[in-house]
Formats: sequence, C-alpha cells, structure tokens
Amino acid sequence: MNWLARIRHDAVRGWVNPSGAEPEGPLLSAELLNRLESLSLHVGRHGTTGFAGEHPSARKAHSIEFADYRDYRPGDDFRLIDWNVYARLGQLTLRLTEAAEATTLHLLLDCSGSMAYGIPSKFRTMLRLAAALGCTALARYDSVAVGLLSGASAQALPRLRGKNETATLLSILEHLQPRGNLDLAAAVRSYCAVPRRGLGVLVSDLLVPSGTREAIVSLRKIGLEPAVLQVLAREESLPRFDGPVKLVDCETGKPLLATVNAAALRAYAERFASWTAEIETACASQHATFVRLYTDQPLEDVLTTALRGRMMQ
Amino acid sequence: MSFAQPAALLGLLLVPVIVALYLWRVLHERHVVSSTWLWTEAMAQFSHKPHRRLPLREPLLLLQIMAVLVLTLVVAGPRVAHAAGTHQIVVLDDSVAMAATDVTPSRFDQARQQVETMIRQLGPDDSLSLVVAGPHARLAGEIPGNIDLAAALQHLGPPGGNADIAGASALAQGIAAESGRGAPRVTFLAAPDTPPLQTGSLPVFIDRIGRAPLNDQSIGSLTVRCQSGAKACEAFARVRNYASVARANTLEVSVDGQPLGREALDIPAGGSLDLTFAIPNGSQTVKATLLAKDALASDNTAWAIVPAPVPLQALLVADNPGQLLTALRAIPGLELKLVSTAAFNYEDVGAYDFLVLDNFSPDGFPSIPLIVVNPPPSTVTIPVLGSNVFLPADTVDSSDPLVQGLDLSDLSTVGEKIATPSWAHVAVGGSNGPLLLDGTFGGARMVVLPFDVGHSAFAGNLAFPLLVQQMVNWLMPAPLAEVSAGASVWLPSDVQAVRDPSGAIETGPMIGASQLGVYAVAAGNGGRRPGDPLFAVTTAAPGDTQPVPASTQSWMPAIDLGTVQHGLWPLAIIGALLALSGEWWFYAKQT
Repeated sequence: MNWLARIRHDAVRGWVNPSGAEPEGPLLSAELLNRLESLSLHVGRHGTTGFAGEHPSARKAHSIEFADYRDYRPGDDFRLIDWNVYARLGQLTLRLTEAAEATTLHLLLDCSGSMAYGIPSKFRTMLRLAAALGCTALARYDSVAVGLLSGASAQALPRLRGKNETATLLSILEHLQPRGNLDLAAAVRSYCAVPRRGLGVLVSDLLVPSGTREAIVSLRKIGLEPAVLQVLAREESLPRFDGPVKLVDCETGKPLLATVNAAALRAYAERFASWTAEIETACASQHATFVRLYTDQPLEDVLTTALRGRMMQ
Repeated sequence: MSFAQPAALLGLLLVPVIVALYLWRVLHERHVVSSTWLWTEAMAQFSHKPHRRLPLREPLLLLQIMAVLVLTLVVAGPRVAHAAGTHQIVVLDDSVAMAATDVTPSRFDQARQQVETMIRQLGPDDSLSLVVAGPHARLAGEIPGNIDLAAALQHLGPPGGNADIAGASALAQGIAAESGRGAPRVTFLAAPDTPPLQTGSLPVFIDRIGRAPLNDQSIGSLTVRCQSGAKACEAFARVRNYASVARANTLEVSVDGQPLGREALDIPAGGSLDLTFAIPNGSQTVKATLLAKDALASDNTAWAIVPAPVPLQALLVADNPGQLLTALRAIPGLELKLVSTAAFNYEDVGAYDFLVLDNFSPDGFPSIPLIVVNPPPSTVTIPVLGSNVFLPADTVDSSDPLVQGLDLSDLSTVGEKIATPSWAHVAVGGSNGPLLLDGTFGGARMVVLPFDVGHSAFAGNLAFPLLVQQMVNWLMPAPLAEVSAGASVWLPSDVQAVRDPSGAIETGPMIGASQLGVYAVAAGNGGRRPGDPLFAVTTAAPGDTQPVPASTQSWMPAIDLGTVQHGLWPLAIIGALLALSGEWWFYAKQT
C-alpha cells in the first residue's frame, strides 16, 4: 500500500486530515451501498477503455449482443452474413454485434478552501457523491481514479479496480480536507498531462472567475468523456444578509466591505444566474454532462433523479 | 424628584456620546462566504456608503447605556420621598484661618452667608443643625429649635483660635444619629488647610472657602526668659511666612506700651525667621507686631508676659539625702531646707511649696506637692508589698512629662515592690512593680520613687538630676503665661477677676480667653495686685487644629440616606456590575 503511505505523507500539504477523525459519520450508509450495486454508470460509447466490461462500446466485435443490420459490402466477413434474411429476402445482409467494455471513472475533486462552505459543507457533499459514483463503478468492475485538485496542480491517486477496493476508496475520501485556493484550468490541465480514457467527472463549486471551459476542453482533448457536477450551498444562491457587511473569502481570508440592500441582492442574483448560465453553456458546447446540485439535497434523491439517465442507470 | 448631587446628572451626557460613537463606527456584520469574486462583480455598480443608523438591537449598546444610567443615578442620589425631609448638619470651621480676607469680605463671613442661604432654602420638612468647630466644638443652634440660629450666626466670631475637628466630628455624628429628623447631610464649611471631618460612614460634603497658600505672615511664638540676677531679659520671636513667595515685613516691638524698636525682615517663602532681642529688666509685657498688611491680620500681633522671678521653697526630710540633695540644690530658683526625719515637724509644712520625703513617711501626707522616695512599709497611702526586690524598668511612658527626653536605661534597681494606687499613673513600670509613679492625691500632685536613691546606680547617672528637675517642674508648673485664643482658662486661686484687653472685667474661676492681647489681674489677693499682667492670648497658626486622627477622606458624594435606603447602595452597585459583566460577556462572545 505504498500509495496510501504517500497519501498520509501528503498530510503536510493539507489535503489529508492526519487525525483521520470524521465527525459526521461514514460517507455512505450500508443501505445505500447495497442500493448502489443495482446501479451502473451511464457511459457514452466513446467512454470505454477497450477492456472487457459491461458498457457498450462504439467498436463492433464478435459478441452475442445484437447491434444492427447493414447491407453487405465487398470485403466484409462472410461469417457475419445473416443467412436467414438472405433466405427470406434474397439480399446479403450483415448482422452486426457490439463490444461490451469497461470504463475508468476519473473523479477530479476540488479540494480548495471554498468547498468547506455550507452546512453540510460542499466538500462533504462532494465526497459523498464521489463515493457513491466510485462504489457504483467498482461494483461493475470499472476502474476508479481519483485526482485531487488544489492550487495549479492535481495529484493523481493510484487507480482502483474491483469491488474489493470499495473500502480503500472510502478510506481515501474520508481523510481528505479542503484547503487553499484553486486554479481550475491549470489543475485539470495538469491531470490531463498524460493520456487517459474513460469518464472524467469534475466535482467542484466552480467558484473561479475563469477556467471552467478550459478545464472541460482539457478533459475532452485527451479522450475523456467529460461530466461536470457543480456542488453549491443554498446560501450561495440566496444570501440571507443585508445592511453593512464584511464578507470574508473563506479561501483567501480577504474581506469585502459592502452595503447589501434589495438592489444589491438583485444584482448578485443576476450575476449568479449569468455565471451559472455561462457554466451550462460551456458544458453544452463541449457536450459535457452537467448537473448542479445543492448541499441540502439528499444524496439518494440526487442519485435517483438528478443523475439518473445522465450519469447513472 | 430631586437629586442630592444634581451635577452628577452631567454623566447622562455620556449617553449621546456613546450613541454618536456607534453611529460613527458603522457595524459591519461579518459573514464568511465561499468566494467574494461574485460579490465583487455584483457590487461594482454600488458604492459602499453604509447608512448610518442606530443599532437599536445591538445588546452592547443597550448594556452600555444602561450602565451609564444606573451609575449616574447612583451618584446623583435621587430623592423621591420627602416624608422625612433632610437634616442638614453644617459644621462651620471657626479656626483663625477663617478670618483671612483672601475672599471678600472674609472667609468666615462668606461661610456665614452660605449658612444663611441654606437656612433660607430649607423646606418645610427639613431641619438644620449648626456645629461651630472652634477651640471647643459646640452646637450653635438648630432649626427648628429654641435658639434663634440666625441671631446666633451674627454673634459668631471673629475666629482666632484653632479648630476642634475631633470634637466637631463626634458632635456631627451624634446629631446625625438622632432619629426622626430626616436624612442627615453633613456640610463642612472650612478653610483650605483645615483637615476634613472624620465622621466614619457618614458622607460629608466639604466646601473649601478661600485659596491656598494664604498670603500670611505671622508671629508664630513670642516668649520671654529672664535669668536670675541678669539686668535684662531675652525675648524670642518666630516669624513665619505662609505665602508661596518671599515677603518683606517690619517687626515692631514694644514693652509695656512703649516702643522698643523696629526691624526690617525678609521672610523666605514658606519659611520662618527666629529673632532674639533684649527686654529691660522690670518690664511686664512685650508686644510684637508685623506692620505689613496681609490676608490674615489677627496673627500679626503677639503678646508675652515677662515672668516674675518667684523663688520656690522646698523642704527635704531625709537622714542621708546624698545624690538627692545634690540634684535638688542644682535646680535654679529653688530654696531648699534639709531636716532630719527626727526633726520633722508636720506644722512647718505649710511654709513650703513642696515637700520631699526620703525613706520617711509621716502619719499622713500633707496636701502640698510631694516627692516620696523609697517609702517605708508602714506607708498607708502607698501599699508596699515587699522590700529589696529587683525592679526592672521594662516600660516607659514617653508621653509622661516626667520622663520626656530622658535616658532611663540604667533605672533598673533594687527597691520596694509597691502596688500602683488608683490615683497614680505609672511613668516607668516593670514586671515586679512600678519604678516611677505620678498622680494627684488629696488635691496635690505627688511623685513616688520606690527605691533608695542613695543605693542606686541610677543616682550617679546624668539622667537623675534631669529627672529631679522635671519632677519639680511637674509638681510646680510655671505660672500661666500664654494661651491660645478661644481657650478656657482656670484663674489662679489668688486671682478672682481679670480685665480683658478690651477693658471688660471677667470673674473666675474659669473664663473664656476670646480677646487677643494681655489679660491683667482685676481683683486678687496675696501678692497679686490689680493691673499685674496675668497671661497673654494669641492666635493659633492657620490650619492649626486640635489633635485628630489621620484622615484620607476628602470628598464624598452627599447621598440622601432618607430616600436611597442603606440596602439600595449594594443593589445599585451590583446592578451596574451586572451590566458591565454582561457587556464584557457579550464582547468576549463576539470576539
């Protein structure tokens, strides 16, 4: 378990809670873990890795899974001709089957200080969500790779595969702690410095002035099928204060003095809406799955409603 | 509602100050957000001009205002109920310092006007007691009362003596303790240098009248000493300057009404000059006057009586007098006759001023001053418990005039162990009995030395003749020569009446020496002739008082104890402390 030793060594960098204390209980309940075994990741045909698995692939191969019919073209393998069709219609028609392949779930987790905001914190919600996705993947013999984004770099943890790595994944996630700031584009670019295939899931609040689009492009560029899960606290969309306030950035500690009134709240709401719209547009332009969820939403509801059909099935 | 200290209500001005501070310091509520960049962009179109409004829901503000209100009210002393009224106890300083004219017309007159004002402002339920702190503190009058206080005020003064502050304090406390006269409030009208009243828990408002230091030059003391056989006497005068700057003055001296001379003086600031000048033999009175005007005129003149040489007659009854005889013969002006115990005749005693009995006790002590040395066991008046007992000198009462200034470390000796009689005071005592007693027995002063002087090593000590001298001085005190103004004087037995400096006749045996100057014999017998100067009355020094305990009390708020109950003080203080504690707790929680 050299990689785990390295994780613990990284405690000095602030990503890991060295005490291992988890005041809020286990990330996933046993009941939820059981329910996750009946789910699987929804992976596009270009999101597979080429290894045998359970996800349909864009590649055609000999298998028992029927895919389609098409007319025979010279050079085609005679073994694929459906002779029953030829007997009935007198046409040479090929019976196509598709390959079932595995995928790798790349969980790119935002470990910046802003994720500590909210009750429960966005970080905690992100960890539970990542745990649910990871356990679902491991239950289907997919691989799980965790990338910790902080500052302008990413730390890629060793890939996990197989159901027996579930406990390891949960242990890793439970020991993470948010700290510092994040240059999203640079950090994702750092993670994508080596070719990777599979499903690239970026989990973050995306509270950065820029870089969201670049991050998705980076994921797409190396062949990952990008998905973006934006985790927000409800207070971020609906602030509940007014009057003269001193807003303290929990990442940088810098204060901002402001007088918040109805007009200011409207301006903030408008800016918030435009910002979220920009993110949605960026994701749509890169054909990336985008889901926004709030910390006050039950995880079970998120898995069965918000992610159902887009990332889970 | 009224207030005992209305000026304390100025403390309420702190409330708008606190409110202004809160308005000036806009309270920014602190909020931690995940990121401020969205806010920064959203608020770019708004300028940060916080609306200054009073945070009425701010607990810190409310606590501070509450603390100010409570403390102000406590200090102001609200008076709601007037059922019992107020009992004003005015203590008027009647010392010589109040005669100063540094305020117009004088300190005393101004104090008198203040008392008159207080009398006019009395309410129907109020009462007033006037205590005059002169040489003898006294109650001058009361309202309501049998004495017309307004008239009594007009007859006060002029002050010339010192102030009996201890007596005035006790008198004020006693008056305040009288029930049913409303809440006591003591006001002390005093000169700047007069010590404050010592009234325990009774609050006192002190109103100082006049300025300090006083521009005053005085003749602090004037005494005359005549050596037997000399052709002239010597007069000693001490001139003091109380001003903060040096003053030039002229001292004029006259003898028996005839000018003797003048001398120009430069008296240093806050200092004094000691002057000596010769007085012709045969003079009777000396008068010294500072001619320059100052703020206090009454102490610019002093009088002194030239002591007449009157030889003392003493009889020593002893068989072996030794050192005792030597010590008595060394006393100037003492004519001593020595007789043996066998030759002692009781009827001859009347011819002497005092008697010395050495190892001898007659059947009864005569009623003249006595020195009893080593009384035999048969002495009835002085119980002898044992003979040849070692008498260590363990305790010495240094305040006793017999032993003042003497080194009595070698006094321990062997002598008679006697019991201390009830009339006697132990000047030197020890574990085995007293070594020196003094007291008054049968109307005459008596000194007892319970050991044989001839066999004591102490007799060869230098302190022994000095002790004998002081014993004689105490037995036969010098005739009265000078008293302080306002003092009560017992006239000598051979003087029935005196003429005061104004020419009025006052008859004894006790008179009040209120006039400055020389009191002369008006009617006497024996060697007293009408017109003979008897004693001089001089002013006390400004600020002089009779001994009082040290006090640090200077000012205390006057509280109407009739309305603010005794139990309310702690409650008010506890309330203020609770408010401040709550403020502290809230502040600590905020930070």
